[in-house]
Amino acid sequence: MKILKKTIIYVVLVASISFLLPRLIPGSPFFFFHSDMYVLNTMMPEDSFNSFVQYYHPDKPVPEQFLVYLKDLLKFDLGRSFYYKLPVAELLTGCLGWTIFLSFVSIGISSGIGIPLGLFYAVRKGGKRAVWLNVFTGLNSVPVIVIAILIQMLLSYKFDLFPSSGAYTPGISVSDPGWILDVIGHAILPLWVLVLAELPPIFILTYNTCSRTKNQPFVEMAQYLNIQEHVINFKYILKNTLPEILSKINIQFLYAISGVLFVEVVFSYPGIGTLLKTAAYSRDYPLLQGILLVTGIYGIVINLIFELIIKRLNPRVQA
Amino acid sequence: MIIFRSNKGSWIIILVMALIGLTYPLISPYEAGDFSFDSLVSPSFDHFLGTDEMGHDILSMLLVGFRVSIGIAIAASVLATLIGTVLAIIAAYYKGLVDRMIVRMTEVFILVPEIVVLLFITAIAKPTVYNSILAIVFFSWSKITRIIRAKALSVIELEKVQYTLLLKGNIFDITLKMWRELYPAVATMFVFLCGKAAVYESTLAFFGIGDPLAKSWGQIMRNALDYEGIFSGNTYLWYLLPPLLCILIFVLAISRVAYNVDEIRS
Amino acid sequence: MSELLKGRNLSKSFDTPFGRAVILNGINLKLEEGSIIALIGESGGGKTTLCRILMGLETADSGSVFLQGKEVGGLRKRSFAECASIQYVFQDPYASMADEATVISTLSEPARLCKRNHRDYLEPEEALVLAGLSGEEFMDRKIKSLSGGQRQKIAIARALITRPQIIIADESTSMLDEGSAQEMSSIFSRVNKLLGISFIIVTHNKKILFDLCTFILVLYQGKIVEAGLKEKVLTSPQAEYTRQYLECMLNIEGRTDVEQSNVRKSYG
Repeated sequence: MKILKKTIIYVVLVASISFLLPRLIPGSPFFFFHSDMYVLNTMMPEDSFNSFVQYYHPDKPVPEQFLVYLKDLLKFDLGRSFYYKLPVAELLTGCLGWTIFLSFVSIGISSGIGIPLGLFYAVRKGGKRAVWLNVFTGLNSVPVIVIAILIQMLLSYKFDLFPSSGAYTPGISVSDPGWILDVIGHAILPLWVLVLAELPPIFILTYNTCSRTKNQPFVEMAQYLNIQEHVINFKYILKNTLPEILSKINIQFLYAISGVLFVEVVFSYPGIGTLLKTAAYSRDYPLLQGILLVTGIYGIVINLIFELIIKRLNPRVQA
Repeated sequence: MIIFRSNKGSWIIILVMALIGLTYPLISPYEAGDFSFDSLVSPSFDHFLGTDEMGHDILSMLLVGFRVSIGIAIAASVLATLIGTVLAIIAAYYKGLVDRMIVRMTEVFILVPEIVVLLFITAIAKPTVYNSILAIVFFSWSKITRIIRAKALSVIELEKVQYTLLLKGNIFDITLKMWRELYPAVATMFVFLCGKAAVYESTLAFFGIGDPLAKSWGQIMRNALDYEGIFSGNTYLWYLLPPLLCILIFVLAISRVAYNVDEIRS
Repeated sequence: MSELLKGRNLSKSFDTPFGRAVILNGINLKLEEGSIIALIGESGGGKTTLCRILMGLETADSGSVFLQGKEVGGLRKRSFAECASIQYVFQDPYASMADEATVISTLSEPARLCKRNHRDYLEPEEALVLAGLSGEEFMDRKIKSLSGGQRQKIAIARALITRPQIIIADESTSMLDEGSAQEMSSIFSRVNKLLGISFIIVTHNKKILFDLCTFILVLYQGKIVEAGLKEKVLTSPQAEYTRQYLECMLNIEGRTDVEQSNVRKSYG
């Protein structure tokens, strides 16, 4: 119940930010009073101006604008994109799938490798764990932008191993037999970059939490009692650290959405990121607002799912 | 990579880079805005990193980038650290409703992808360096607030701080009393954010909505990628890679210095 | 004698992973002017929580605290005068003062706050002398260069500066060696006589229990099981827990002490 209440607050806050932000920034078209509308009219193309007036009602007072905005939201009406001349909601639903695909698969792969690896290195006695930790710590601080450009430069342009852009070869359709393979081929590079960016933090935080738990008295006690090692590792260490690890992966997942959007731009992947770039470049306000809202809500949903899972795993955690 | 292992080495790298940023007019071979040279010259003694498609000397542009990129990073980080720390201390001091409101705000800023907020603001505002800095500050403060608030909440429970609370010390007295314990976290977060801000700035330039006149590293990378034939020859080696490496080295050195930030976070 | 501090029907419980833990259950207590109350009880039995509620650092779930007949709420609702008239000496002398600060800067903090709020205060030099340390020698030393006993004396000096009427000392002697603890006890006694400050002392120290205090309160399982004048409690304890407590204390530490064996004889 508490989680639900929190989620509703988040949604309201995100909606208010997406409503208020453009009105708070000096120099934005929202900043004009309706008496100055003719100035705006000279700044924008005629059709953009018309749809702007039609959707935002700049002649009405701000609180009323907010009510209209909320009412439109409930009808899933996010306005019309200036650039694409299409309803924003339609554009977003077309792109959201690719973004969700990339973020889920990349986090899945990263967690699938990172958590067992982190646990393995944390419980292993001796060995060269420091080397691995250093490699991952180093990798952790390399910005996604650098990884993305380097990988695209080397593997796609210089050596021509993978397609450099898009989610599928233009002209190929879902019903074609090679469609799935084609999509996978196009997804390999973006996923590779994302995994390189997401794996290190997941590995490091699993390693750190497991190492800390490993030295706790109840684990040491289990060792004195000669309980089998794999039982200790899974039942004592992993099971007790999993809620903590998951709550950190939750945050990593939220950060990863940013990374996904970015990678989409570099590889011209047809997700929200590419839409974002076009929207920002062409200053397409309704589209920008829609993207802020949809990505924000995507983040909220992810957060909700994780909190529910964590609560299930560990009823003692107070949300 | 060896050099990044030691903190000292990282400090030296950062200081040297900052020094280059401060003194680049003295060491720059040409005016950065001078495009009178032949275009797309390969590296030579006249042009160490060659020239771009317009005929700018790439090395000179790169040197300007030291000042612009590092300057933006530091300015944004100073502002965000200041705002973030003040809010964190307010949250820890007043607790209750004030604390809850501040926490909810920081959480919302984690839920909304930062890149969207960044582009949102810069797309709507005029593309100036000043606005880029403000956009970076706008969502960065929440990271600082989250971590410093957690720290402040534990420090405020220390008996020496409780003593001041018992005598109705105001928020300044309390901050003064806590500063010794808070300072390391604040300093680390500041350094950490410097690296982040440098990356954000180049991201903005990469998206093509930074200040087109500010010759930052990101802007040079954007120009390089916009040039059609960047990958057809070896041009990318002295056009795209140097600014990329500058950012990489700067960020790596910074992350070495701010290494213990993970400890604070967990 | 007038009533300085009164707690009425104070209750407090906490949520733990294993359910709700009742720490305090309907505590009533009062401190009269000039008296010294020794508060004893089990470790983790709510003594510190009780002190923190009286100080306003925590709020009770129910019940109220009265300062000179006036009901006071939590710390934020108290006025400076109310806060300054009741001072707290913490248990850990190593945590209650900033290590890097000098003695003078530690002592000038309450003086500065008093000045800001227009309250009379004791000069740090005087307070230091009252706490048994000489002024010139200690003023410029760093807190971290002092021993535990010296730190605790500084802590008392700091508490005296606001000219309080009540000092609550939460196990202020438990981290000190016996010699320092005895000194503390005589400082408490001197301050009580010279300045008329009343004390609530949480303690396990027999010197304080047998010599210094005038009243004894015994806290057991969240309730006050025994309260009364020292002589009465020591000679004819009513509650089972008090009997056990005194038995232990005398058996372990007091066999050769004539005075204490008298005490023992008279109740046992």
